[in-house]
This record gives sequence, C-alpha cells and structure tokens, in this order.
Amino acid sequence: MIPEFLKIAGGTVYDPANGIDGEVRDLWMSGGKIVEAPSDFETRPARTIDAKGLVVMPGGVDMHCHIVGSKVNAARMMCPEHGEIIPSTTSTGLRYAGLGYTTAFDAAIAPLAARHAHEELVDTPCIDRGFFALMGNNHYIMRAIRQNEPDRLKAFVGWLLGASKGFAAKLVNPGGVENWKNRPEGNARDLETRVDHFEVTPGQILASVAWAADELRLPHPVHVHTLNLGLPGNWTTTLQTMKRLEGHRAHMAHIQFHSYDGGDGDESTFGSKVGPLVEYLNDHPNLTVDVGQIVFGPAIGMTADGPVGHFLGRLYGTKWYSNDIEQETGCGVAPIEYRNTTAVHAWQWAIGLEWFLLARDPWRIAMSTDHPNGGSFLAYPRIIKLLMDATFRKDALAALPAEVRERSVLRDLDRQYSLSEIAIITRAGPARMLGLTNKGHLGIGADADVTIYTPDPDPEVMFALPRYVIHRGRIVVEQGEIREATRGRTLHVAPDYDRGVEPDLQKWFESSYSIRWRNYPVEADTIGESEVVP
Amino acid sequence: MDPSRTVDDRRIWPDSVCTACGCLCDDIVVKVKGDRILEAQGACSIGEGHFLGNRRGDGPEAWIHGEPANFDEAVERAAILLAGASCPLVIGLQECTTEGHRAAVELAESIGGGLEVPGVSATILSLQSVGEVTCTLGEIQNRADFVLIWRADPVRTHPRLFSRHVLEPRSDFLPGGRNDRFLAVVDIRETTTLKEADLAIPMDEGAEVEALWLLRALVKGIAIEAEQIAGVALKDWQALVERFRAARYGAILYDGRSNGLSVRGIHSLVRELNERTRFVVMPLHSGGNGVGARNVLTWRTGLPGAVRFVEGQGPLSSDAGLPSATAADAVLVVSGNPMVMDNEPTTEVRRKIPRVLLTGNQEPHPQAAEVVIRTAAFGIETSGTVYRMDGVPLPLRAVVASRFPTVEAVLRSIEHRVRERRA
Amino acid sequence: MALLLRRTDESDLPIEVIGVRPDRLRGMPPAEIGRFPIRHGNRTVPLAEVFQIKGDPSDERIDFEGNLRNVHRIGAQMSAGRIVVDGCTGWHLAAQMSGGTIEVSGDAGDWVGAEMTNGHVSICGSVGDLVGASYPGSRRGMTNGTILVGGSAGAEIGRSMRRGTIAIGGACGDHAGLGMIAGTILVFGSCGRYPGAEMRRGTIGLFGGGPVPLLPTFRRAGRFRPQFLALIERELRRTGFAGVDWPSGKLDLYHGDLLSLGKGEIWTREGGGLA
Repeated sequence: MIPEFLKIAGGTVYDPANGIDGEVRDLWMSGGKIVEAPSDFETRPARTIDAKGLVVMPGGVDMHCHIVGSKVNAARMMCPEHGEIIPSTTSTGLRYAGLGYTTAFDAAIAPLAARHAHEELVDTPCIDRGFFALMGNNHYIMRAIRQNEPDRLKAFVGWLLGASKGFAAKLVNPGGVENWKNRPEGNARDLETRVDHFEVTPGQILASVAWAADELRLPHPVHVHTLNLGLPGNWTTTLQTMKRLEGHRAHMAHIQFHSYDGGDGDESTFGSKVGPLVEYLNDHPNLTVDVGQIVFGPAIGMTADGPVGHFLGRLYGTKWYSNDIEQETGCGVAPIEYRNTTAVHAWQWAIGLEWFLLARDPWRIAMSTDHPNGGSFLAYPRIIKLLMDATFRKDALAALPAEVRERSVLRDLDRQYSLSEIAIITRAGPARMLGLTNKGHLGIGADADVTIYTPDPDPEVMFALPRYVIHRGRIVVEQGEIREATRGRTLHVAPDYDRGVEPDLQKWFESSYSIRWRNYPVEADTIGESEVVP
Repeated sequence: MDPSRTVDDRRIWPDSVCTACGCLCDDIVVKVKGDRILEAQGACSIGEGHFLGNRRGDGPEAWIHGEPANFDEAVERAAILLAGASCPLVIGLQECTTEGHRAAVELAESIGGGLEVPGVSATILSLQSVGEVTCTLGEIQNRADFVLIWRADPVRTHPRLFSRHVLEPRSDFLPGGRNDRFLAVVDIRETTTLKEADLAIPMDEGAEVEALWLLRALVKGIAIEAEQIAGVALKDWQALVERFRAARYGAILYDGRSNGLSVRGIHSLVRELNERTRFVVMPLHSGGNGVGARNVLTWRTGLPGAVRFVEGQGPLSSDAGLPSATAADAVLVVSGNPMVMDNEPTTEVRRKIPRVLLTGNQEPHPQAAEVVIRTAAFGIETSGTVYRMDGVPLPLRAVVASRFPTVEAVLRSIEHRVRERRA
Repeated sequence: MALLLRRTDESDLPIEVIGVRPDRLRGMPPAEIGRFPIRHGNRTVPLAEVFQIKGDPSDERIDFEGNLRNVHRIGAQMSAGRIVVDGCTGWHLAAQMSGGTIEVSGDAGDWVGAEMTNGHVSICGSVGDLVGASYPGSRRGMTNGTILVGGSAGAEIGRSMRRGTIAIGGACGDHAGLGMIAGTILVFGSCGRYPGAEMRRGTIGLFGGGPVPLLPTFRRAGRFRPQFLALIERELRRTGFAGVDWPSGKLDLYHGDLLSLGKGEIWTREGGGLA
C-alpha cells in the first residue's frame, strides 16, 4: 500500500528541540509520524494544509494535571456546581485538543485504583496520556527502607509501575500522609520526622525512590510533591528536599505551592522565597520543576496529600472529601476560590510568575496550573500572555493588594518570553523532562502531534484558538471546530525488575490488602491502545 | 488473562469476585464442570446462592409482547421504540460492567434520552453538601480500633464483612485482631449485628436524626438539656462519645440505602470527629455494580446522578432538573430482576409507558415489558470491571459461558439499529 | 399590551421555556418570538410549535395560559418585567431570577425561586420541594427577594438561603430552612420535622399552632413579643399576602442550630416548641 501523506506547507516552525526557531518549512507526516519529504517529487500528499503566515509547533504536553481516576471523579460527584473545572473525560480530551495539547499526564494515581484511572484514560479522547503512580507512603517501600534493602525497594518500584501500568514514580508528602492516617494532626514537618510504625524518615523515602527510579532507568525521574505544601515558611523544606535529591534526577512538582516565606505566626510575613530556590534550581541541572500557577477564580484542591485536603476544608469552611487508601496513600478534595483581593492568593499568583521569570533555563521549568488545583488548564493562554507581555503583567500586578505589589520582585522583572521559549515550557521541555523522545518536537520519527496557530498581537487570543491541531497525523481541530475525536494512546512503562522479590511481596500483599494479589495488576485489555515507553 | 486451570474434567477459577453483596469478596474459588458451577469455595451463604443458583438459561432469547422472538427482531423493535420516543429513559445499570455503562451512555446520547441509576441519592446529596471522609476497606481492616455500625445489619446482609475487613483481621497496627477493636452498634431493633456489639444502643424508631444531632453536639462539647434522646439516656450517648474520643482510627458504617437527613448527620459527625481524632465513614452498599454505574456515568458525562441528553447540547443534569421518570415516554431497563418495575415507587406511572427490559435472570417474565431481551447472567457469565462499595475496582471474570449476549453487546446492537434508522 | 402564550395541546412531555422572559423578548419582532427555541422532550422546537402567540411584550409582560403543569422554568433567570400565569406550572419557576414579578394562580412544582437573587414571586396554590433553595452542591440558596405561597409547600424550603423572605400560607414539609445562612421563613400551617437544622442565622416563624418538632440543638430563649413581625406583616399584606392568621400575642423563641453558629431564631406560638 502506498502511504498517505499529510503535508503542512510553508508554516513558520518553532521546534526548539531541533534548534528551529521560527523558520519557514514544510512538514510531512504519514502513519502517525513525522517523515522525510518523499524523495519522489511526483508524490502528492493526500492533503496539504497551507500554513503560510501561520505558526507551527509540536502539540502541547501537560506534564502535571489531575484529570482522571477516583479523586477527580469524587470531585465531579461532590462539586456539580464546579463542573466547568472538572468536566467529563470526553470534554477534558476535547478541551486539551482545543488548546493545542496532545499529551497529558495525571500526576497522582493510587495503584490500588489504577484500573479505575485507566478506564477513564481510555475514555479521554484526542490525547496520549498516562499517570504517575503514588508511592511516597507505600508500606512496602517504607519497610524495605527500614530493613535497609535497596534492591528489594528497587524491584518493588519496578513491579508496582508494571502492575499498575503507570508511567513514573510519584511521591506526595512522603511519610506525612502515613502519619496523618495514623493519628490526628499527624504529619511530617521536616525531612527528619519519624514515620510512625516504620521508623523511617521522609528524607530516606525521597532519596531511596529517587535512586530506584534512576537505577530502573525510568524515562521520567522521581516526581516529587514534597512536605508542607501550601504552608507559610515551607521554602526551607523545599530547599532541603532539593538538596536531599542531589546526585539523582528529580522533578519538583507545582513548585509555586512550596516557595513561601513566613510561618512565624505573623500573617504579614507571608511572601515569596522564590529567590534562593530558583538560584538552587539554576545551579543544579539534575532538577526540573513545573510551576503550578494559580489563576484567580474557582479551583478545586485535589491531592493525594490527605492532610492538605483537611487543611483546605477547614481553612475555607467548605465541604471536604478524604479517602485513605490502604498501604498506599491518602486523598483530599476541597473547592477553593482564589481572589485577587486576598493577600495570600495574590502572593501565590505572583510567586508562580516569579518562578517563570527567574528560572534561567526554560528547558527545566514547565507550564502547569496543577489543574485543577491552581485553576483550570484552560488558563494556559492567559498565563502565556502574562509571560509574553510585561505591560499586561504589570497592569495585573497593579490590581493586587499593596503588600504584594510592593514586595514582589515581579514589579522589577521586565523579561518577556519569546515564542520559542513558550514552545519550550509548553511542549519541548515537558516532553524532554518526561523522557518522551517522540513528543515535543517535529523531527523525523516524532509522533505527528502538531499545533498550528494564527499569529495575533494578543498571545492569549493566539494560543486560545489554534487553527489546526493534529494528533498522530489526524486532524483533530480545524478552524476551532472538532473534526475528529481521535482515540489516543496510554503511555506507560514496563521496567525490568528482579522477580525474585515476588514471593515475599505476595505474602505481604495477601496479609495487608483487602483484595487478592492476583486481582491487583491491570491487564492490557483494560487500557486500550497503548505504548510502552522505554 | 485467564487464571483458571483444569483438573480432570473441572475448571477451577481462583480469586473470583462475588457480586452478591457490596463486599465484592474476590477470593472465591469457583469450580465448574461444563457449564455448571459445582462449588464456590469461600463464599458465604448469599454468595453460594449467587454462584450455585446459576443455571444455564434455556428458552427463547427474547420476547415481544410476551411472544418468543429472535434477537434481531427484538433489537429492531427496541430501536424503533426508543428512537421514536421524545423523552426516553435508560434506568437500572447496577448489573453490568464498565463496558455496559459506556454503551448505555452512548445509547442514551443517540436516542436523546435520560440515564438514571436508582438509589443512594442521600449519600450523593450529603457528599455535595458536607463532603465525605472515607477510606478503602483495607484501612478499616488494618487500622480501625473502633467501629460503629449505625442502623445496619451487616452480619446478615454482608456476611463476610466482619471476618474479612472490619472486626477479625490482625494487622501490624492491631496485632490482637478482634481484641484490639471495639464494636458499637446503634439500631432500632434487635439485629444479629447488635448481638456482637461491645456496646449496643437500641434506640427508638424515627428518632435517628435527633440522636445524630445530639451526638454531634456532645462531640463539639455543646451542653444539651435533656434526660433522654431517641429513647436512650443521655449518659448512654455520652458513653458512646467517650468511645469516639478514645479511638485512634474510628469507622462508622451505615446502610447505603438510608435516606433523609440522617446521612448528612452521619457524614457531618465523622467530619467533626476528625477535629480530634481520625474517623472515616462508609455506606454499606448492596450487591451488583451500582457503584460502578455511578462512577462511569459521572466520568462519561461529568455529572453525578441522573442525566439527560437533549438535541444539540451536551449532557444535562436532571438531578435538580425534571421529573424524568414520570415524564418518560419509553423506558429501557437494564436489570437482573425479571419484574424490576414492580419495585419502583413510580410503578403506576411507568407501567403505562412502553418498556424494553434487558435481563440476565434465568427465568424472566416474558410479559415484564413490551420487549424482553435476555443477557448473560451478571457476575457469572460476564467479564469486565466492577467497583466495590469503597470504590476499589476489581476484575470480574466469566466462569461459565452464556448462550446470551452481554448487556453491552445488546445496547450496542440497539444503538447501531437506531443510527441506521436515522441514516 | 402583554404577550400572551397559550398552550393548546395536552401532551405530558416536559417543556422548558428557558429564556422566555419579558426582559429577553422585549423588542423582538413577533416572527422572531415565534421562532424562539424552547425544549420539548429531547428536541429543540420553536416557541410557536407549542404555544399560540398573541400580543407583544413591549410593556414587559408575558401571560401564560393553558395546560402548564409540565412547562418548566417559567421566569427562570428573569431580571425585569412581569409574568402572569393562569394555571399550574412545572418546576424551576422563577429559579435564579434577579428582578421583576411573577404571579401564578394555581400550583407550582419543585425549585420555585431556587437561588433567586431578587424579585417577587407569588403563588396562590401550593408548591413542591426546595422553594428558594440551593441547587445540588451550591453553597447558597436565594440571596434576596420574596416568595409568597398561598397554599402549602414541600420539603427543604429555604435550603441554604442567604437573605430574602419565604412565606407559606399553609403547611410545609420536613427540614424547612436546612442550613440557612440568614433570611426569613414564615409558615402559617403545620410544619414538618427538623426545621432549622444547621441554620446559622435567620428567622423561622412557625405559626401553625400545635407542637413544633425541634432538634435537641435548639435552646429555648424565652417568650417575647417579636418586634420584627409587625413590619413583615405590613409589608406582606401590602403585596397581597392575605388570608392567614398572624399571631398577635407573645411568641416562644428558640435559638439554634447550636451545631452551626446558633444565631438562628425559631418563633412559635406559645408552647409550640417541642423537642
């Protein structure tokens, strides 16, 4: 059979992974991949998109969001009044496509409920997707650390990712959630806190799992939501965490929520400590971050950090959902309303932007709102405008309470992101951080995920309404209309691990879980079309 | 993956899931000879009834107006009925797997209909007003040193709940098992469960809400001037509250079918208890896969509870929308119960409405609906994902083959015919 | 001249007249009004397919006539003008309205004035559940305005209401004023169980006489002659709320719900409050 070609002709291409910064080029694709232009000049593409004057980028990659699984579905059930922020799986996929995104990862899935998450992923159209498996409060991991058996731990991480068909190892408030499950007000306030029953510390969990992820050669390193999320003065813990991860690759999630000054009980000392943290990041290429930018308006706090859910529910006096998941994690959900008149919220907004503007290497900082924690991913075009347009940003800052206006370094920052830098933080960078060699770029052999924008003086307009979105070589969006809801693939890993661990593991499993060992792994037929990422 | 093995002329299915009650025990060893189930090792009496009561259905695959019909005729008739309706409704759905729910959503969309999973509205409403502090059963199994059963009789309705998850198990946290746990039971009548309690509080019928409000007040330290509430002396309620306070990880289990303000009261009480200690709540749901139905419908439509599809719009909520059940002009019931409609409160209204019934029951009533289509028996002849009452998903594996198609296959056939007719 | 919408058929299918309100239709040419899309079962149809249309809404008034029991959302989200219904209506009458007046000669279904922010609704007959209530998940019910019901009302009236007045000439069902934040509910007939559960502030007057079943988390505060009542009585009489027996002597006052702030007031006729 003669392959069918799709050609994008004459677009201005931004493909930073391949060093292409706004060059007029043709792109050919076939069989869902970017291909060489056919050598035979007679070959006509089945379709040509005339992209003259248009901007061509790889499809967007969201590396940290919460879009599927038991916690998202609990939020849908609890908050029908916020259906706009937590829509159905179908709408989620269509909305990502509508924004020019073709890949997204849910950042927090309990392996025990992995089957549920996969069923939702299958029902999320138009994007390739996967999830990070929660293991920061896993009993077997803590046991292996206590018994000083790193090889057992490494094998377990491999087994767990394979069994849940997850993509990466995720730590959420390591040790702290277990303490909260074990006693009222229990938590971990610093890396040396002792975890009840297990005699290990958060610092040990961080270092051990980071090591295991490296040893297993996972495409994405350990993905860390560290202790004290959202609390005043938490920047010291964040810095300690980064230091503790020295010698390993690691990703620090929604760093905005972990960069706060204060904590001495005096509310007026709340503020930004981005300075020392970003300096550390700039000097340590082993680390990457995503921002977790907040946007003013309604949001849903949604986290595996059980005590944070409790904190939010109490702080705002809202309804609160919590779900403790045996041997693995917690889960908290509570609605939030970010107001630009509330000083703490205004600080959070400013702190996120400080991160974007002070991080030196755009390849190591990714766009995220930690959807829906900081607000919907639909806010990305607005955030892009805040980054590209310093005047717009300063006007927005001017509307905030005086203490933020006057104390945030934002007022002195004139940096404006270029289109190429936007392409890095929204697709090329996250794809590289995730270890997805076929995503985030337009080189030969890449997945044919392409977004075509109409240039506009207003970046928000430009990025909110892509002219074309192509997913695996199929046109999903054309002129703002959905053309085809493509099926998408689930991306997961299948690490090699020492199977010798299984008898002990099974024994432990059968004595602790409420389900049988045999019924835990997710089978291939549950996850739809999929791809193992090496 | 097929985990079964064959010994002599028998096929043995280890770790099978039993859908007879909400426990969804997944450790049943089912032994099958040919198409007959010989044994369901490990199952309780309800579970045994579920597995061993299954007989291969014989007789016609469908009926139209009580007359035997073949599958294609019945599907055609169902499609005409549903596609021609202006306000069709799909209800039931507790007895199929995720695939069936997906097919039901797609069919409802294609006919512009409503979708409803009966039951648990009070639990959802309570979740929507105060939230829910809950856990998976394994947490109760490993940590709960205090359990309160509030007006439920799990010893009878969920026979293995106590031994597998709630009372007996030993764990690193509770090495003494039953001896490390305290069981309190509050009920209005002498139940089997009440007899097992370390603290039994029999209360007056119809006064649950007063009792819950009182408990909440005592937990919050609000003085109440009353000698007795709900027929129980104040000091006895105080004794219960002392037990709440002494708990490290408390759990309150109640009947998932409960209604009214008491559910909100229980959920609020649990939330308030978390100000002092750890507490969780869990509604005890009945068998089948109603939990899965609500989950799938929620993620597929974005809306909890009842939804409806209207031409040119996405799914709309009919929770607070319209009295869809009474307004329907055609109803598709997906159920194992051959006479399901007789159990519905709106029978009188719905009886007049043309109905299609999909049933996995072995002896369906040919006149239960205008069109009756038989499906594989849920939980025995079907595979897929089911959701336990705590939301934990489990793989269901067919242990015997069926003569009849699955619910999803029938729904997709009907949808296919609807689309063909439109085109 | 008013716009007259007369329903002529008798089908039971639900009809939703979203957007058919004076502030929206005013100034619209008659042909366009006829084409105005409404929901009929699972289809969208032009207004003229279901209603005979006469007159025009230039004076911001719409009159509904005919079989309206299954016509839902009359006056929902209306911000100004007047709607007069001759007959009984379906659900969500006046829901989320922000201004204007709605008068109904017969009954209305559930969700009358749910989450309304202002305006005036009066219904001569009886109404269903959730008058002035919050929708599922929402934190607030009605935040202002008046709902007057001549007959009886169902359960959970005034759920999470924030401000405004609900007056029921007849009886009301269970959980009146559930979680109410503030505002006033007056009931002149008997009252169902657990009025004022989780109320924070606000006033519930239960004037039907006979025992009122209160939760144990309400505390008797004494017997007084309430000052506010005369004001409300004058105001409601002015708007045509008549035929009820206003209490004249002293009333018993209870404070609650002690579980949530406890600044709510429940007033009953002497000796009415029974736990």
